[in-house]
Amino acid sequence: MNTSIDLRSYWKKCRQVIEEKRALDLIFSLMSLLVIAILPIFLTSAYWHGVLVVAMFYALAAIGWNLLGGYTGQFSIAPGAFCLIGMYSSALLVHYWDWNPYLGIFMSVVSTATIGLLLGWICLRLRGPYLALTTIAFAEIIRGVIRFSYDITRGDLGLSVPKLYGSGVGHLDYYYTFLLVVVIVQIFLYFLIKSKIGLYLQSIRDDEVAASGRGVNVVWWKTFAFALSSLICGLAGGLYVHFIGLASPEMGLLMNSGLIIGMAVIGGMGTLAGPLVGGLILHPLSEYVREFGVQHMVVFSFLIIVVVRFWRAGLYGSLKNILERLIFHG
Amino acid sequence: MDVFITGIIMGTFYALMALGLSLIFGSLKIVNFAHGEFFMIGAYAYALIAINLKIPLVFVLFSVVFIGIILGVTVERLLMRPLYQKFTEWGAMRDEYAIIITFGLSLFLMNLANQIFGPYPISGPGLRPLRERIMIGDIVMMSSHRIIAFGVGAGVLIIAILLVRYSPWGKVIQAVSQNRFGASIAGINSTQVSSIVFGISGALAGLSGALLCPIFSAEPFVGALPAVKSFVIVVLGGMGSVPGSILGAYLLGVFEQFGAVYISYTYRDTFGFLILILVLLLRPQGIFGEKAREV
Amino acid sequence: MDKDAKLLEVKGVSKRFGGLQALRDVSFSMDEGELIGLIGPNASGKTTLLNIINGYYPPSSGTIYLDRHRIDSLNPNQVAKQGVTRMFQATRIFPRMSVLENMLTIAYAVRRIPSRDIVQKARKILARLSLDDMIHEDAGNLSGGQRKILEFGTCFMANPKLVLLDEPFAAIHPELKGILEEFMIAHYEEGGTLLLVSHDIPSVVASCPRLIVLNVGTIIADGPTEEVVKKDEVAEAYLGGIV
Repeated sequence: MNTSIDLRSYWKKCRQVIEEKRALDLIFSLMSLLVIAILPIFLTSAYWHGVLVVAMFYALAAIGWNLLGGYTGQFSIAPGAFCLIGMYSSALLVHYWDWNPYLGIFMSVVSTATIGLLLGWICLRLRGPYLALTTIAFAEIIRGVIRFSYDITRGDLGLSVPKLYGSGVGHLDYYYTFLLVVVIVQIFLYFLIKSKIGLYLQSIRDDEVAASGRGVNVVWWKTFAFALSSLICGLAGGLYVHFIGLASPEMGLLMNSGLIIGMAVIGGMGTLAGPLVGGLILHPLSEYVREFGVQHMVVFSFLIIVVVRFWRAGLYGSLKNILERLIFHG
Repeated sequence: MDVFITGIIMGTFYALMALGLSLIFGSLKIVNFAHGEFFMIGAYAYALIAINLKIPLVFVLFSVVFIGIILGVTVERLLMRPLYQKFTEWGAMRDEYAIIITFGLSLFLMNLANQIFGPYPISGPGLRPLRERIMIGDIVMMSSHRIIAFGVGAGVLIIAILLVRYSPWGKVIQAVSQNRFGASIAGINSTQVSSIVFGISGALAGLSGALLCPIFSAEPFVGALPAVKSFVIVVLGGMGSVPGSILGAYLLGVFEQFGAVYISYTYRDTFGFLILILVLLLRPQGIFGEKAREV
Repeated sequence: MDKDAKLLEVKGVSKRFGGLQALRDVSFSMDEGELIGLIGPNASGKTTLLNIINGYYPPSSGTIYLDRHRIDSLNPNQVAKQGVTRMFQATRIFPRMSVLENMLTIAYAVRRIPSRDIVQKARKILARLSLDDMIHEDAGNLSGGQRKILEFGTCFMANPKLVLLDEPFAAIHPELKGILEEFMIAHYEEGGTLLLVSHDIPSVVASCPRLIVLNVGTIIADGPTEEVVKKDEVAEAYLGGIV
């Protein structure tokens, strides 16, 4: 008798997990981040700490893009440009007006959200290739302006900025700062996607015409997605520039946006944990591959092609399917 | 005056690029983001074949065209099939599939070239010695390579346009562009048409790369700029409209030259992007394109 | 509501697309609680009319009033918030969202029923439509017929004032058709207002008390079903008689 009651309550618990399907994503994300949190105990190389900080930067940017591309269906090729804006917003304020870097990062967020709104407005009536082309053009204009305003930005030479935690040697301060930001963003997005806003965004992705006919204010929510997505990329950029200590236009290169999108896609587009997995695994992997003299971008872009062609769910997406099937079928 | 002529010459090369892209968009309704890399591969093919095999340059050009066709068809066969299959996992998001996969292909080809050939430019031999100049009439003096390249380019362009307009294959392409479903009912194999279109596109872009190789050299990222210009042209002229793209190509060629000389050299490309956005915002169908209805 | 006010008033609506006159001076009205069949040969403008009522594009001329609010210049989402729901001719559902989420989206978006009741109501409707065992399944995994039923179900989630059904019974299994018809009649008997567009003449004639016939963009008949089917113009329009 006792065992059958136990099994029944266990089964009920499983069903609840199923009902809150997206909780799976959040649990996975938090567990991965927990692993990252305790990793420095075993991995003491400062070099690899630095690599992981950059990985978290890319993961954050990928998470931001995924909100726009994976959840709202707007395939912008400009996430790198928004990281760039985030970098320079803070860099310029700190460099010329001696602003506190924290305030600088805050301004990164504000400026990218605003410019994201602008791009969203521009792209409202655009779909598919037209949308992609517009975002490419937008990204290149921004990069061009920053590069060629040599007097202000020092162009390709880059603008040096103080680091957030002074010029100490270890990276652990940054490590845990980035980690904290990623955790907060993931939890925030979990609640957002679970809410009715998440329903609206995904309905826009799935069928904009039907969504409109079912009461979703497509204009408003598309713009919202652009703004929030850009904001996250800008935040990533702002943090990054005060880690690296240098603002360079290279961040805005289309290839870099391709990298960010690639991480989201390979990790699993349209899932909460996909871009996180993509960034955390792929960036260190690319650093590792570099030791063999292979250009990481070659491997990367090849993976993008393969995943998109044969394996749409991506790394985490597939894992999630397996996990769900296990839980669902007992 | 020679600014204008240079514009026309450049316009011809742009037209070769834009025509291929326009055909793909017309019949498949997608933008091929790897188009610039067809150009790049054409440039490398020209340079490497010409340098390593001492054969007349005419044959080199033919080889490049041949390679371009193979490249285009291979890409289509390997990567573009899911576009026609309705029940793949991408379902309604076929546009997005095309965007990501061609973008990924573009990155892959650029970086593969970088990996194999290194970042240093390889220059191919000119059709005439590069320093040689010819007088046109009494007024203009121009590099003879450019003139001959222009001649070849214009010739191929005219042939291509005539083929698309009047040949049986061309009519099939037009049919699929206008109504894919209807065309298939009429017995046209639209996947074959897609292969043909990609093949033509690869050939034209590759040829363009080969002809410009002596001037711009072959290097991994050389295709990026021609690609972007093609996008601007195709959008300006109307996606899928052949006359629109040709007209747009020459317009861009001429205006660019005047702009570079009289306005600003550095911001030249940025202006192109600005034009792109403005056109997409104000008149998305371009000059000759059609508006699509949704519901 | 006073007896004279109609629920839906379409006044002199015309629509032109470039060189094509899709609708010409279409006028009719619906009372609350009516079930009207809208029939007509292909390309007669039925779907265009629905699209205009829905708000997907404005009429070239004319006005539309819903419950005395003017709706012809509103966006589709605003029209939906006024209480108009629509079923599309080519089934439109959200394939990468679950069946339940498909139902919830419209309810949250139009805000016509209290939030706490939404999930419960969705489950109830899905149960009536025999979809409750697929509740967490991605809508894209459903068969064609099931998708149609799902789309149908979403129309009734949020207390609609007017339900527009565009060919709901086309190309589905007779068994599924029975489920939809039953649901539709039940909604009608509870006082709902429906406009049914269909090519399935016997079905429309059997269930709708009033018939509007559209031909080449104009209304050629509008009245009680028994009278309309006897009219010569109607038989002519369908080339060979209907009943």
